[in-house]
Amino acid sequence: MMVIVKILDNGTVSFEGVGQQLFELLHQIKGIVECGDPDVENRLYPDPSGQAEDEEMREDWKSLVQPELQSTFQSARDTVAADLRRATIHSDGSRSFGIPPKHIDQWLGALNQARLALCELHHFTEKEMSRKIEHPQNDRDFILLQMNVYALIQEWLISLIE
Amino acid sequence: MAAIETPEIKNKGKSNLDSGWHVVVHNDPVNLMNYVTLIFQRVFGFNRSRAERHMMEVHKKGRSIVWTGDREKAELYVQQLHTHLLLATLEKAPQL
Repeated sequence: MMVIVKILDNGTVSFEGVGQQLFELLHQIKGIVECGDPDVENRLYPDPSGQAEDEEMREDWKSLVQPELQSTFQSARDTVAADLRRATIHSDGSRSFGIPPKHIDQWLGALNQARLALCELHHFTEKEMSRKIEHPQNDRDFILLQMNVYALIQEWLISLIE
Repeated sequence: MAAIETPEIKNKGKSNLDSGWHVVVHNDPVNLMNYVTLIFQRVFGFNRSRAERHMMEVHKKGRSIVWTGDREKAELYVQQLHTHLLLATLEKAPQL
């Protein structure tokens, strides 16, 4: 099954011919990030200070900035989930859905959250992430494939807004 | 006539002699190179070539000082970079 990506006249990025497996990978974005894993939380909300002694700033950041970041990240994931809920299911089992232009930033953000979360959850190193995927039926290779699929969609979206 | 003592001035909190604060972006293995370039252009208004230069510095040296100035603005930039999931920190610039 071949996925066709088109830009419609109104700027919507249209995905057609999305197979069930690819659609499921996109559907998983929300759950991957909302797993409650402490490593994922630490990556999404990193230390803002490079000064070891700046404890006051860290406390302020946690109480003032972090809730704002949480809300931004949640909103991006909810937007993606809503766009996927509006997908049309065709008789051959494939799906088509669209990303309206004003949702592109949220998609970029949500895909990034998911890739960062997968990296933390599975402790991938930079070297491992750039290796060739040889056995996608293997769990670890499949996760790498999933990260690459998300990255590919990010690349498409970035090329559209550049 | 009594002499007026020269008042002692103590700096409390932020010093006026601050040499500034660096906004530092650190390397991470996940963020895409063109995504980082795009975010630098958006957050700092860099042109593409400058944004790419900083992105490459992050990639090759592990970190890049992308902005230096007063603390309040530096904090705002770090917040914006965190919104885009870049690893950014605020660091005090060395005194000149």
